[in-house]
Amino acid sequence: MSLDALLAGLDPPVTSQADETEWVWDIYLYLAIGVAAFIAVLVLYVIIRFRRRDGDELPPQKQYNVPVELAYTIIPLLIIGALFAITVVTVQAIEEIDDDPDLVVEVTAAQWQWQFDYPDSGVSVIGSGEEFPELVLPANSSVTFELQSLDVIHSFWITAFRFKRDIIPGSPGRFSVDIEDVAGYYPNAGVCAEYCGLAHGTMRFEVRILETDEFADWIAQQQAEGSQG
Amino acid sequence: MTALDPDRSAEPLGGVDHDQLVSVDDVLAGGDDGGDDGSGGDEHGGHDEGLPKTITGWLTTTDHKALGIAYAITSLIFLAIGGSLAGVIRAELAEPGEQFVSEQLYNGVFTIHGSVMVYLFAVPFGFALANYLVPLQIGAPDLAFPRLNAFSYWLYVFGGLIMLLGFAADGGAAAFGWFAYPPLSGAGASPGLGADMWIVAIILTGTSGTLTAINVIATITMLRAPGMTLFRMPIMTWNLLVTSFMVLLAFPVLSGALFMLQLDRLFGFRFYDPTDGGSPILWQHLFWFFGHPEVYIVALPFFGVVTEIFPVFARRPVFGYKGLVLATLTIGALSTSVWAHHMFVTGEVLVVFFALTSALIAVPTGVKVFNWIGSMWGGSISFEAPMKFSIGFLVTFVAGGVTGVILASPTLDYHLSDSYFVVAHFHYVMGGTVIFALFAAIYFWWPKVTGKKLSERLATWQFWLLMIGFNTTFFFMHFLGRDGMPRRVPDYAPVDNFELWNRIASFGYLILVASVVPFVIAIVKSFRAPVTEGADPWEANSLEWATSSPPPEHNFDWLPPIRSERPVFDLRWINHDEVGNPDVAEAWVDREGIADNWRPLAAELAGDPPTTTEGDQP
Ligand code: HEM
Ligand SMILES: [Cu+2]
Ligand SMILES: [Cu+2]
Repeated sequence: MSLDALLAGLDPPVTSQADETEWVWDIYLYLAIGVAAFIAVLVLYVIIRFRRRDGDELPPQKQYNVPVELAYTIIPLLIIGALFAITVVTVQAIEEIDDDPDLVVEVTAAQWQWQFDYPDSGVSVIGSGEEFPELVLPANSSVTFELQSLDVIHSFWITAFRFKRDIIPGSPGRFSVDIEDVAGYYPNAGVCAEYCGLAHGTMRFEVRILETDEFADWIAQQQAEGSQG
Repeated sequence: MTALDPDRSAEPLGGVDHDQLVSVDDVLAGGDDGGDDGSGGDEHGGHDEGLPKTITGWLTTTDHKALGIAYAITSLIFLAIGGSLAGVIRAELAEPGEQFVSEQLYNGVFTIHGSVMVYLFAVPFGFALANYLVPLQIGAPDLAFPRLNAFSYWLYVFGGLIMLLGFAADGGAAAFGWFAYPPLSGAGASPGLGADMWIVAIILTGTSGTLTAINVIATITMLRAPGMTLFRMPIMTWNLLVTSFMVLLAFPVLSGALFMLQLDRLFGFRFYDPTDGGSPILWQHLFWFFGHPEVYIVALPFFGVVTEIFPVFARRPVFGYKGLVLATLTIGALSTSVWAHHMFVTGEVLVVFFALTSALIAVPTGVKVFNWIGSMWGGSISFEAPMKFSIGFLVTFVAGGVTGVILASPTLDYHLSDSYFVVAHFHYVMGGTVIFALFAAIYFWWPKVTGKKLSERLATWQFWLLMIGFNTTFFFMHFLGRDGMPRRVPDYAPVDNFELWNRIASFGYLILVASVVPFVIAIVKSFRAPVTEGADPWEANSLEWATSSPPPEHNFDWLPPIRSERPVFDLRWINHDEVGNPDVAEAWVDREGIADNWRPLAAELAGDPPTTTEGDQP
């Protein structure tokens, strides 16, 4: 059974970047559990094996054991080094910006609402008072997000991307993802993660990933509605 | 073999007659005419406790022990307040939807909860330990600057009151989170007076901390007793020294940054205002340059606590003393270069560099864990309350440490940052460990402060309730965070299991509240009990156990020779060759003729005269 069964609420990863994150997560997670279990067992062993018994003498007062001390410095250093290497490689892949993506989405955050603009087609989506806005994306395509904030700091988190990026007023940011063949509806995937004041908790959005042709239809439909209204 | 590097590999002693061990009480009684009977507390009853007797006395005291107690009580009151505010959070989150408090109030509650816990509880309790213990552990009569010390304490009290009074201000308390990111904390987004009060409160407590740090550093560098070299200081004192240097480095930066924020708010300066050339990210750099060392400022004194306790109850020396000091220094140094791991998701920092330093800091931290285990290894461990809580500390700390390594990877932090995973992580490392070590400290030093022991039975109840309550409250928050629940929200999405984990967490809070009950009963019972404990109830190692309980004014009228980092241990075993430091007996004999203010080891001392005087030591 995977540990992730306990994490029933999390959407599966939908980008190739999120896949990277997932295997790194697995390595770190199982290692963390292993280390914690190792130390727990060690502590348990020590407190059982060396508990005070009747007639105990003064135990040996040896204070230093240099080989052991070196071992428990160097071994963690090696483990940490390996983890760091994994992190560097993956984080660089995740951070790569695609300057010629299939789609550009401009994300504008403001207290406490999201706006998604598709500059190539002039389509714009904004949440209403009652409904969370829906971010619609095409499957099997590369997307670059351009982020800006109109007031305070927000953070654009799509849990299915396993990624978030703060949106800092005055310094627009961007990131790119490669969406996989994962068409579907992810109603809880969009979250504002940086605390942004009164209604931060309700600053959410939904994510819908459409097949490429459906996405084209959706754009066309939005354009039609936009030109009417 | 030098005094610095004593050979402790001697064979264990078989069949030691307990009467042959020198007891501090006997030595203390030795010089008092007619005070030969070293058992029981009668002779301590008449002792001048050195604590103020009147309210005015307490309000004007400059005595380090009185101020240490005042710091401890005050910070425990703030723990209770912060804990009650956490109750509001857990009540609100027990069910989805909004039930008890408005969004505005909720935001103020978690902001003040975090701020109270960090600035008014955890750090000041470290100062309580520094106040009470540093002079005692290095054989000094008081801190170097007693009046400055009193001033620090009162700055802290007023700072704390101002922060809490924020709830009464127009518009409520500050509600921008404990790290107050601008522009949200600016005059536009947070106009209320509560925000200004929060800033002033933290400048005051920060200044208080800075002054205390200066005091501790001056005390440790200038007031050590003869023989107390740096490498004979207890680890507790070492940690407080390193903590103080970190305070000196970090707190002024925070005060300066807050001062700039207040100029922005009040006078329209533009340090952090992005609409007019200011930089919100500048605040984050300044804040976290303080904020990361801050978590070690919180933690190091408590690391010190358990490092005192493990050896005593395992009857072993601290394992790898010098490695431990080196680890502490390394943590201190590295902690100044990891701050931007709090800013990975801003996309405006060099993540690779900060990922490296953040990962590296795990190594000296791991070394400490193995030193603690090493101190127990091969020992003869008994499980009185201080030891129980220290072991509780150890496992909780490891659980928080491994999630820290996860968060230090930007790859993973991009998902986990600002989620409940982070809330779980920092409550393990800053909440759980601090609270376990705090109670370990209280149970351990209570007999020193009061001359009485606290109930072991009640302590056991408290320990298990705390252990179960703590993990029930915080463990499942890891799942919540990984599943996508952001922090600082009064309500949550209808995601699978969010409701379940939140309800379990809120139930855990009730167990935590229950864990307070046995403690309070133990304290109340102890106040009614007579003084029963002598100078050294745990058979401990460091100098605070070489004076009566409670210690007299100015702490010592006698000190044992200090020839290792365990002067009281050396004294206890002075009649046994090959245990303890052999120089001690020699020093003792030398001392006899010269110093009349130092009581010689008189013939009336229980047990045999030192056998090592026969000149057979190396
Ligand atoms: C008494 C047990 C405690 C409980 C039940 C508790 C619960 C919580 C919860 C649920 C949050 C998250 C609030 C949110 O993100 O909406 C929180 C935040 C926080 N807690 Fe605790 N906590 C406790 C003790 C402590 C202790 C001992 C410390 C530190 C020494 C601490 C420091 C913090 C900090 C710094 C925050 C962040 C506040 C912010 O987001 O601005 N807590 N606590
Ligand atoms: Cu936001
Ligand atoms: Cu927000």
